Amino acid sequence: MKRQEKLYRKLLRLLPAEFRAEYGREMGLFFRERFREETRSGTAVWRVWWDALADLLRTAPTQHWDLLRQDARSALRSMGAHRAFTAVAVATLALGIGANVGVFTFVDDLLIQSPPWPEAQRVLRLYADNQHGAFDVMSYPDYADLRDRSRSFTGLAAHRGVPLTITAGSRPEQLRGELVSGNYFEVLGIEPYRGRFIRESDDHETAEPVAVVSFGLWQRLGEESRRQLRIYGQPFRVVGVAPGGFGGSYPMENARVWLPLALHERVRRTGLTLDRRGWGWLQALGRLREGVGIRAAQAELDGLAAQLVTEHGSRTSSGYRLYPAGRYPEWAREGVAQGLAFLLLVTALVLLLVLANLGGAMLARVVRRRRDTAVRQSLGATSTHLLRLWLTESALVALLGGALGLLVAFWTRKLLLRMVPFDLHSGQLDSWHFGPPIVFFTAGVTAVCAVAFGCLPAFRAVRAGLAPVLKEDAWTTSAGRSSARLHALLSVGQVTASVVLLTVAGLLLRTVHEAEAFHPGFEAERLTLAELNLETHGYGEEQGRAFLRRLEERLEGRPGVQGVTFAEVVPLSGNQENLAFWLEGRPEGPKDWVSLDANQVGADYFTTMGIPIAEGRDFRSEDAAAGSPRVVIVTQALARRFWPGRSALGRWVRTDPEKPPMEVVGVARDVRYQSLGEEPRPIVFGNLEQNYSGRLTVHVRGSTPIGRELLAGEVAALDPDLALGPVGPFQDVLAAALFPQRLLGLATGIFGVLALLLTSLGLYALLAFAVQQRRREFGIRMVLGARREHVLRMVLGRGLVLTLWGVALGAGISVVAARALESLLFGVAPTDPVALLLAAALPLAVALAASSLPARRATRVDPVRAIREP
Amino acid sequence: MTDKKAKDLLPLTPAAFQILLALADAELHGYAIMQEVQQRTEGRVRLGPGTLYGNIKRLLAEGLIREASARPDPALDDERRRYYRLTPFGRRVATREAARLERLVDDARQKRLLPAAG
Repeated sequence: MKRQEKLYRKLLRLLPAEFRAEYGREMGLFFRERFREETRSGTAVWRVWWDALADLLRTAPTQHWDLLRQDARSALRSMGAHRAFTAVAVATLALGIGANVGVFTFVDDLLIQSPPWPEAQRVLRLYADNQHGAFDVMSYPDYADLRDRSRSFTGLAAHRGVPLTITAGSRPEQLRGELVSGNYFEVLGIEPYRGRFIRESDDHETAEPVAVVSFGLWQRLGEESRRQLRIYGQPFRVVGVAPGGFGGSYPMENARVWLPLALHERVRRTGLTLDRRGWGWLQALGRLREGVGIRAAQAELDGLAAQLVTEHGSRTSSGYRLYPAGRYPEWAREGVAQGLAFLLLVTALVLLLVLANLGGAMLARVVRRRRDTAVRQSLGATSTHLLRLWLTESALVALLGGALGLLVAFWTRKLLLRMVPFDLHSGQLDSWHFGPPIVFFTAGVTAVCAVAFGCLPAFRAVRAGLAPVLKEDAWTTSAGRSSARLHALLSVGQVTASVVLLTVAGLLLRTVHEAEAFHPGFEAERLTLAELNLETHGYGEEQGRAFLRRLEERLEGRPGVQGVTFAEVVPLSGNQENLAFWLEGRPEGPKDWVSLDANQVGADYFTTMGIPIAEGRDFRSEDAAAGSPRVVIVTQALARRFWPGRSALGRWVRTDPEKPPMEVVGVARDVRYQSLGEEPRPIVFGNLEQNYSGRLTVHVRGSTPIGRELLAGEVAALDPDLALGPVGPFQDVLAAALFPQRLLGLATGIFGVLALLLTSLGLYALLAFAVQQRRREFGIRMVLGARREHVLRMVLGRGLVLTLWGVALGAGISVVAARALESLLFGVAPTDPVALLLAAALPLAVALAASSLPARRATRVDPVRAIREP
Repeated sequence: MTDKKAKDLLPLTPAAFQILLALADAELHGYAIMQEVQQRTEGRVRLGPGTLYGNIKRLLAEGLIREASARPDPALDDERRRYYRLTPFGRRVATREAARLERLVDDARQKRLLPAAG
């Protein structure tokens, strides 16, 4: 019997403590009586227990719920009574939570979310992996071999972005298009908005030319153009419309028209045929067969690559690499992921600071409300009850902060998305993805906040509420003093966090500054670029050369223009063209060529771009003369790699064993070609004069930036039907390359200022509270002859000491943090004295300003009134 | 307490009404309330301790019952128990609830769900 009752009393723990305290004893008696009675009348013991358990399980939830409602009501009352505090607390929390959720959502958008295709996690991108590292393009025969031989994919598609000139209505316009294999849309698995997509049967040179247009383009096309589109003057039948927001399989492609790959010559005019192995220009993506993992597929590809190398030697790529297709392009992913991880850390630090701030404020309230607490306790409120009241209040504040934080997050994300240098699957990200990850994340952050800033003061409240407080002055009791110490500690923590944030922000902003000022090997300022495609406008070589000559003359005649040149490839633009080369000193067999970056550039290219020629000479106009030897200029990196220790001048390279070799006449200084951080790449610059191409980018250097109108006007004056491609300053190209650093720098900068603001607010609150609590002490001191300056010094000194501790700690942590950050820094040392000094000086200045107000108030204490106060 | 307030509390839960009924003519402690209810309903209503004290807590808060003095029940053992008694307000609420139920039964009779009252 005793044991049964004991067990029952243990089970009573299911009920809230208050209820147990009130009725637990009698419930035990009740159970004892009933147990005795029932077993006496022959009821089975298990039956009695069953009833008791069912009864408890029915009662417990309602009792807990009742209590929660009661607590919430009193918490709301208290929040209403301290409206100013509640408002500030909710606002700061909203900022802290909002920044975190916003950054998290952004990370989700960029790196976690799959592209909006069905079962997108099974879609992989396939890059050739040559000696320069991954993410290379591949040739059509290589692609076709992989497609036909691999068993891991339900389909392997190839695509390539191209600029197109379409005529819809009277004016030609240039936009992005994509050449795609017949199975491309099938691999993506998306459905057309209207009509049909490109099929295998369209992907033949002899098939009827068809096109698929984007939803956005379709909407603004006229009736006529919706049936037939003229691309470079040739008719293409429009067979379908892509779904809204689809702009190609690469987010930044922004394609508006899709054409069958087999028709590439109609829009590219490269003079090359698809069957040319070694002409890398295609990107591929495949959909994994059910049950096949990425590892198995990679293993199969490794085998196939080895097979192809045996068959074709160095004409084919040495390997391939698979990546899950994400929203963010794979080649930039790693740097961005690292940056975003760091951004998440920074926002977490901001949240910590917010919590320290609120914790301090709550602590002040605890001390202020100690009488209320003590009265409640003396009236029999249990510690757990008081603790729960505080926690409920902080939970409600956190909840409100979290709700408001979603709004802040929405704007944060919007701001961050605007900084992305390209469209991330166009319209589809404009909407707010309120998926499970974000809900869980927000709920988690909010819960952590509620517990973090509620718990500490709540425990204090219970301890500080002990009876002696009723009589004593808060700061003379040990509980009051330890609360003050804790409060001061929190302030030091805030200063520390601010210093760390400001140091990091300083380092990153200096990185952006340095990177922008970084010399990529050429002069980026005042360089304006415009794409031009003459071939597809029906210009032959003769006409084309004449047009370019006249355009150059006209442009050079315009005021402010300092130089004009043409080139096929723009450095750092992400476009690349690889060609196969045979080089002097290497084996000369048909399979012994290497794939290298190639660019065809006009006369004055190196002068206009500001690339110094290290050895030899620039291209000359005499090179254009008939019968003059064919010449190239190579980079120093190429010379070092293939002709180490010897001069490159006079050596030959060739792109075709049939054609005469080309002589190296100059060695150019290395330039950053694909990314700012890369190792110098071997590049071959061909002479455009000898190697005519009508697909060009016009480079114009001005004394001031050259506008679009000037360029478009000159082109239109020569040929009104010729559409000029995208025009923009080279800085736009650079901005895209600098995206991660700029993003991080801006974000930490904003957070650093926010942190400073919060810290000064926290410090001000701490000192103002201390001054208020010590009014009597100050009064007595002044009565006893203390001068006002003395009191001023006391308060200011306290603020200063706290700040100095924070600065010292922060500087220490910053040095460690900056080391961890080193890989993100560019041109700035992690111990950069300017950043460190600023990060230390700013909080000091702000802290002094924040302390001066309460300090002056302390000097204005009226001794007589202060002493009389209770 | 006003009548308006009494109306707001209706309808009562079956358990609460049973407790009020048990206290209508006697001051009882918790276990005795349960016993009275069980006997009166011939075992059809059996209140568990949780249900009983949960309801007592609410009825106390709403002012329907009041604690009387705590004293040992000579019939059980020497442990002190809290006795409860109906307040005038509680009596009014219980009466109203009974009247409400009566009207309900009348309606059922008119619809011939029950035989007419003899």
